[in-house]
Amino acid sequence: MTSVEPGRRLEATEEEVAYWVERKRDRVAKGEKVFTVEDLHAYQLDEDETWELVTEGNGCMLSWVAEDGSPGGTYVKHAVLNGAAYMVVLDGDEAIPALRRDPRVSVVFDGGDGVGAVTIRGTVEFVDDPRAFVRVLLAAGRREGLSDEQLAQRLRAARPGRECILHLKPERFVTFTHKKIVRG
Amino acid sequence: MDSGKRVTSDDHRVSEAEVDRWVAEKQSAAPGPSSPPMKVSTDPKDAWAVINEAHPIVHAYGGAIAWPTKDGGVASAYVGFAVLDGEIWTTTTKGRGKTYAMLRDPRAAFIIVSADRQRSTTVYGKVELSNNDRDVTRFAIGFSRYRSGRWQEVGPGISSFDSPGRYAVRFIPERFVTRMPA
Repeated sequence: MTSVEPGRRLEATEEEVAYWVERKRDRVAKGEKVFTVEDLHAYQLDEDETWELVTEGNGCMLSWVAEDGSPGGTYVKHAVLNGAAYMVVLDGDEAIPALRRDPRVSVVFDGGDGVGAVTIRGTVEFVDDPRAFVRVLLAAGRREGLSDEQLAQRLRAARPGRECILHLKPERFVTFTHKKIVRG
Repeated sequence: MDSGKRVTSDDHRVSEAEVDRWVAEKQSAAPGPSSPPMKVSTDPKDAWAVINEAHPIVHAYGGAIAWPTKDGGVASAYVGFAVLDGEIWTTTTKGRGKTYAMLRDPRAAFIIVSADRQRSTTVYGKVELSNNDRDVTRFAIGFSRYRSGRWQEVGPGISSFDSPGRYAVRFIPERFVTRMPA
């Protein structure tokens, strides 16, 4: 896959930029009403829609705080079991020592094309129970669409204690959906 | 047919019997070989392969940008992005928490996932916010051209970037961590 179709350029030329800057200044000068989504309150998801997006999403983007206070991030697989979200962090990921030190996280669930996204801020708890470990791996693998054979391979290769299951404990939700945008 | 019932958990995907079976197998099995299901690369070439693959469908597969909060924690948001002349750009507006945070502390992490969701990269670095018309418009044009996943002419929709306080955000990479199947 290429980033730009042949013959197409994503980057604007200086002439194009100048043209659209001028158009913008005209619109602003005329006080033309424009469509913007600066106030996001109208585009939020309700609680059911939020969990639906979290459950239907394929993986999520987990962020944490490094020792020097800078943000870290990784893409992880997840599952929703008994009403709670669990994430699988792979062996060797920088997230593991960081989260053992500071459990604060921010997790983005992307609903896909034209759906929206949910961000959950909160903390995580490491889950050591072997049954929970297996249950989360099975659920996450099936959500991902792994075949029975692939899932069996995944389970056999899994290393409890080195791969970690994180239980997400939400404190705050930020949601946004494109579905509620009405352009007029 | 839509039964009207929402599936809001994965509980139905797993039976207790198979959990029992796998727990028993894992407990009786000898420690397996060190064969992590993913490998990690810090090579920028691997990162750009992921970014370029995710890039054409920015509307479907944007990324998450994470920033440090005032209390020493972390926050993040889903954002669309455009790669312009080899640089990652996104946008924000005045009045948002992330804008204040980025102006206070420019450190950020950008997580980008490939279209097939098998590879991902985290770009660590700093952000630089610009609210001059040229940078905002340049980003708006690039983003608008690919936001539906297909190249399209820039049209009236570009006015959604007109709001006062709109910033173009340039991401300055310092380190890449890419995860891919081993």
